[in-house]
Amino acid sequence: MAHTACCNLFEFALQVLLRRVPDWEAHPCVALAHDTPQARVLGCNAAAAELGVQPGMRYAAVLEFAPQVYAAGVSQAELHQHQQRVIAGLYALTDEVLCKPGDPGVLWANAAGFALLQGSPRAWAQQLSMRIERLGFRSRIVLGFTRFGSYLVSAAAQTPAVELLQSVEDERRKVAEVPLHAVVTSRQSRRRLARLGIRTAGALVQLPRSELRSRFGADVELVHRQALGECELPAQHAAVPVQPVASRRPPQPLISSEQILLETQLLLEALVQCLPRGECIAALTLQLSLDDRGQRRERIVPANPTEQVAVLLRLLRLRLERAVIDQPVSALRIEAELCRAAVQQHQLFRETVPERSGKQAVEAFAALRASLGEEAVRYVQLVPHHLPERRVQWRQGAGSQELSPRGSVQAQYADCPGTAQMVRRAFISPQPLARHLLRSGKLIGPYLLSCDWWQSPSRRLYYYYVMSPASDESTSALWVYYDLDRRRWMLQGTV
Amino acid sequence: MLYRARDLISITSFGEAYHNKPYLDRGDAESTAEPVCSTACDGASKTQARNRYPLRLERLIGRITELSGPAALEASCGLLREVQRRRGVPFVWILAHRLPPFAPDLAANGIDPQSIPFVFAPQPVAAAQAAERCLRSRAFELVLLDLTNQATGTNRGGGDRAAAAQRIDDAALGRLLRLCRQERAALLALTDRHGDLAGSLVFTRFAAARRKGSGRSGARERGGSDSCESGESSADYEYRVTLAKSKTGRPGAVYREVLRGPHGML
Repeated sequence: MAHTACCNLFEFALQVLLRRVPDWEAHPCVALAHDTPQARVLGCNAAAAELGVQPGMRYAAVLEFAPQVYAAGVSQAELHQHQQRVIAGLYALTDEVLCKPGDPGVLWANAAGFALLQGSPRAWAQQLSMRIERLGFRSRIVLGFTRFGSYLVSAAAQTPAVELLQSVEDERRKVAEVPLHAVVTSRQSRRRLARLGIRTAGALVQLPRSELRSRFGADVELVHRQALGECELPAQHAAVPVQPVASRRPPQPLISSEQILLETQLLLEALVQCLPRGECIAALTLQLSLDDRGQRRERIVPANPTEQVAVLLRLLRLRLERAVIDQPVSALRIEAELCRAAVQQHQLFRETVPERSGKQAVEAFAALRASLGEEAVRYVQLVPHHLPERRVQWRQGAGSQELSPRGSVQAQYADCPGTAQMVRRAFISPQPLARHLLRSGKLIGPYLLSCDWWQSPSRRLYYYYVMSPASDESTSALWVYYDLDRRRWMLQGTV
Repeated sequence: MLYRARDLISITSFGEAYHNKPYLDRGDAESTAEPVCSTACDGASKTQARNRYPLRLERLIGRITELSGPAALEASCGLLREVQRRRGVPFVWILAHRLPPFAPDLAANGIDPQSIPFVFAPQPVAAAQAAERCLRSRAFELVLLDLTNQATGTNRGGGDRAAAAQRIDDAALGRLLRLCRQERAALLALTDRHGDLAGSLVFTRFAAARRKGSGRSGARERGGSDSCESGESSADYEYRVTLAKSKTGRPGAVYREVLRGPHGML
């Protein structure tokens, strides 16, 4: 019976990227190690591969021959976070998960004993595949006898499927058919072997080992030994992901926010001590169970992932200060969202911070969001549209890069100096307006605006309502419209 | 009637010269009394030297400045442009209401609205606290505190008592001023009326008024650049920024600029 199942989440970095930006699936796109021109390509889809993109290339090189490629960086922390989710899912069906060092998309699950629980090994493997699919990833599952054999067969497979190797001989036969590019990573070694007519792993095994190291390098010799079954692929044990949750039921119901904070501090300290090595808290959710069986949830996001209790407590304090909790709290539960800690977060000494930096601004915004709500800090995005409220989209900015202005707007203005324009104010969404408010002044208009006739037609008659037309000094006006479809007056903004 | 005809003759005979004269020296009663000047390229260097845009960042650093009136937004655009041109000078716009500026109008004034972080606070006191937090973070050189309430008829209620309850007290203003000095930052407060930001801690107060202009667009004033969207369906306005209070100088100086109204506002 098979011993191990290789779960190969092929093109893992690309799958993570497409989870983040699903619209890119129809376009040629690549996942990069970083968001820089010199970053390496970690993975590419079929459309990008048709343009000649290959994993390992630099993004700057890709741009030379395929500038239309969509690209974004996928950090190690993000890959690790998704790998942990998959590992946690696999641990529901097995007692041991191993991962391949340097390749977060390759995992092995121990099949011993568990295959019988599902009726047959194939049914168990299908369960594994379904569980990974439920987490949003595609995989190839190969149930084999060795890590090397199952991995090679899964790497050579073309479509996501479940494959069961019947015996050790069957596995060796399948491995022998695996093309060389799935076995030997070095392009130079592959080229040299190809000159000798060696294009599969089976042909490589036939070579005498004595000259392999000197002619083709240590990695080819290692593959040769692994193919003969003398050694295995290196693997690392994947620990059961810690559920970053802590809860507490205090002996007496908590009445004030100070008491809640004190209990939360105890929970946080306990949670931080149990964090896996190299992990930090990216977001924290505090769930309060109230005496009237109600629930209240507060979520805070620090400016940077942290493991410092003081930083999290400060944000929680800001949030709870403005919260109105009218019922005593009978139980608390905190749930953390973890992510991989960046290297600079573990430096012993604090670096000299420049005078004004975007990092400080991001920290200030995190505190403002904690005290005023998640929607407190927002950025504008201009969108081409006819309706005024749809020309402006409000979004939450994440990084400090948002603060640097684009030169194009200023350049356009610089071409036409002295053309200052009146600046209107506009509600985020138009407000209903009572008709009687428009009696005493003067209406300027109407100006018909009709759009979206192909889906939900909108016809509006726009007016400027000057409140005191007699006064020369004040030209304050309301920016109003009459909605012809809904038959009501709306207030767009003011002038 | 005769008087009007005589005027017409004089304008016709001196037509070209009349149109080339500086905008604010056209015989307006105010223009002779006040130290104003235009932003026009009129060649009158003396007038230009006197008429400078008053809201310059280096003059606001370490101070609380109040800019009140219906044209406060337009008057602050020059300052925002200056701040955005100087890379590395981030600023934040804190609003005490839910009526933000219309972003395409900001873009038409040469300001990139997409790089401005807007902070929405529920009331002026919370907005002042947000400003304090922003100044304390040392990240911003300019904090724009938008305290206008915009008498729209829909959001005004409660009368003077409610307004007084929402007013920023002297202690908060004192903290803000101390932070401005300490962090070398500027705080510009936009208010509805002159004196809305009470207290002697406000270093400079400007009143920005707006009125309908003479009907000649700014582009034509400056030599008729038709490439600019002068807008046939929009009227011409002007705004005036009057120095109402200054701790270092004499109040009364006026700055004027021609303004294009939005399309359709005649």
